[in-house]
Amino acid sequence: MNKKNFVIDIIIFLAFLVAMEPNFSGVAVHEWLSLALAATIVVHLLLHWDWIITIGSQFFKKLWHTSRLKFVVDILLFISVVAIMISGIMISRVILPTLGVEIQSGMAWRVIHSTSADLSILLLGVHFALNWSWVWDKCKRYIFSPIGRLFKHKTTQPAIAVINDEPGS
Amino acid sequence: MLKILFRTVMILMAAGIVAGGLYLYASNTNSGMSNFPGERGGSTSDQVEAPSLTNPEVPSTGRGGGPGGLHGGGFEEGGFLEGGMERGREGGSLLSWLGVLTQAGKIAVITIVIAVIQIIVKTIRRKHSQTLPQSTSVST
Repeated sequence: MNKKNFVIDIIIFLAFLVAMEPNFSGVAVHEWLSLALAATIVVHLLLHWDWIITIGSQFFKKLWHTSRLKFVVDILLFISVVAIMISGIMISRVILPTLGVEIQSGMAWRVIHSTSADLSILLLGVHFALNWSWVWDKCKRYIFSPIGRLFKHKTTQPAIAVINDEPGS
Repeated sequence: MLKILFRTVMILMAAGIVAGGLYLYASNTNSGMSNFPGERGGSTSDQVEAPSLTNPEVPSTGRGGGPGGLHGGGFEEGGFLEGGMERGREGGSLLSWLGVLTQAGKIAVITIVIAVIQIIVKTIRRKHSQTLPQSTSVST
């Protein structure tokens, strides 16, 4: 479960970085990737549903708690991401024409899109920092430890080979 | 399965509430913007002069030269609000990697700053909790 969460979080993070830079990916990839990202974020929320309900139900019971701050940041991040998605759909130049839909997008949608994108970077940084201990723990367990074990395995292998190559063995 | 479906509907409903609010805001702002010269739906003389699909011969006074001024191409493609999106329509340039790295760098800086603040707060709390029993023992 933890591994699944971690993998999904990494995918969301990398996709978010690429989607935030349309110059890099191009408009078509930017739009389709962002749409896929919306679906992945729904999965992310479903995986953390129990936490959302627990903290949400205790929100007004205990003041000044880290989980409470996390909850507020997560709600703001959710609003920001929804704003990016909706405004992105409204100013879409690839997805909507592909689907044969025409929408009269206004200047306000562009302003909402760029503002919420900037805000979401800030909130993602805060979200990341507030869950830093979990991220660091999972990085150690699923990335650094396996790499470390791989190097240990490689350094021990030649020694065995040398022993086997000794004459008379 | 039903539980997941219900939760997904709840998430989509929450997203729908936000989307509805945004739609109201955007439609109000757009109707406000339509009073500016060159915007569709405006009633000024500039809009009459601006080229339209029905009368393309009339030269544009807007910067972008598209129909309708401000909205319909009034801002140059790749302008400040577009973030130069047009330039990257094909995408994949090596230099644009820097943009991705910049975004990652921004997130990293924010994360580090908040992590440092968290460490400082924890240290202060720890010191405070260490000094508190001593002071109470002295007072008693």
